[in-house]
Amino acid sequence: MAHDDDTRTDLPRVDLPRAGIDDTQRFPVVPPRRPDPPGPPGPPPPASPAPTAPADRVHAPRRWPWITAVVLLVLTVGALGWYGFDTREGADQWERTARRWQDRAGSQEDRAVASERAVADLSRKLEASEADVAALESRVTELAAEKAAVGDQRELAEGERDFFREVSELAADAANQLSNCVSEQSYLYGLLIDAGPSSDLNRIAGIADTVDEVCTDAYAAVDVLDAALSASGP
Amino acid sequence: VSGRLRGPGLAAVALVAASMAACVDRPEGVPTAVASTTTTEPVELRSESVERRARQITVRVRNRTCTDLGTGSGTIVGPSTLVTNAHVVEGALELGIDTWDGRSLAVDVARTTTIADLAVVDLTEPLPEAVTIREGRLEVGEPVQVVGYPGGGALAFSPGTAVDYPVDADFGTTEAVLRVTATVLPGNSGGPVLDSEGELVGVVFAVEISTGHALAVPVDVLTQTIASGGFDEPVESCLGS
Repeated sequence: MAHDDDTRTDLPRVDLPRAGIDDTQRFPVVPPRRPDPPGPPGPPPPASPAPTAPADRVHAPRRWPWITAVVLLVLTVGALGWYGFDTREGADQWERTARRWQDRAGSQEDRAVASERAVADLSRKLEASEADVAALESRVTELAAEKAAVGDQRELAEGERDFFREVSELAADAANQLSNCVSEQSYLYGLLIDAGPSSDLNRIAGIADTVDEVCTDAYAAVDVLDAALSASGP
Repeated sequence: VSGRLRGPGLAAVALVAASMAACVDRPEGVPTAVASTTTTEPVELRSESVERRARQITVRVRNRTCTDLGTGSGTIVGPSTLVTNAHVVEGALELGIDTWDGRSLAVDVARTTTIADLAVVDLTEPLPEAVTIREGRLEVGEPVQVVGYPGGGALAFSPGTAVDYPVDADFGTTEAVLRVTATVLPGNSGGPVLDSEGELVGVVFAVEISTGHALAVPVDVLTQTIASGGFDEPVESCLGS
């Protein structure tokens, strides 16, 4: 295994048999081994401890879980950090929003109180207006009743006027006819006073018949007047 | 195998957590307007509304005949038509119509019917209000309001309830009449009997002396008479024309 310790140098040796273990440790790059030159057979080179195939399958996968774990850890830490930051941001935003809502709620409450006061005021005014309207309607009803009563009086007066106009017309007619009757009677009375033995009795009788007719009409007119008066009007 | 999946599992949990954090809804801006829930609809007491409407559709009828002056009530049933009793307009030399607020309305023509103590009076000008005629008869026991001008005075309301629908020839008709407990006086004749909704259910025409109950022509008789053209007899004045 060891050849000559005096041949140690810092330069890589191409003479593989002279290369020491220290050199290989310093310089991991190992040139490919050259075939041994023909010569007398020497002692066989020491067998290098080459790994076996099963050892390769055990050692190689063991690095990947760690790498994966580190990567995932980094990702997780990053995600958690981002999550925390984002949550904090969200919480701050929620807090600001809640504060704004609180302010707005206070404003709305003030507005609601003001609205309630306005509604109460309007309700009072409405009630007062309703009372005023009711009082006015009551007064209008009273005035309408008074107007209707006046209208009744006017109609009654018109009825009486019509009645008295009719009665006066009837009375005038009766008076006229009675006057005619009296005139005819006076004329007949004069004839009878002045009548003598030579008077025409037939003529006097004719005049008497005329007097009867005129006076009968006059009496009829008086009856009509009496009937109208007995009706006593509206 | 579980050992190999533990790492990716943790990463997946972390990613899910991060995703959930990202999915948290952020508050949005405060709304600048709040929906108003205040109603501004005017409130009017129902009874007052019915009363006001009753006032508007009830008129005072004045009838001057050759010998006297009478008053009654009337119910506006159309744009320029009112219903009253035949005996209210009988022998009219001149008819006068007055509203509750003092307006005087001119009469065009008046007609009566032989079916019941009813008459219709057409006016020369349209009216803004007319009563709503109830479909179907008033049920016994239902509250009513009799509106009119008792004694020729101011407009008055008289509450009552429906009693029954007797048929008696002494009432001057072969039709059933509506009997209500409301108090009426001369001057109420021709006035409306209204239900709680203010709809016309009858027309007052008499008072029953023995009970003091008001008698009214049921609204179905009125509607049938109108529909059959029963108002076909002009009112004859006291002068005979």
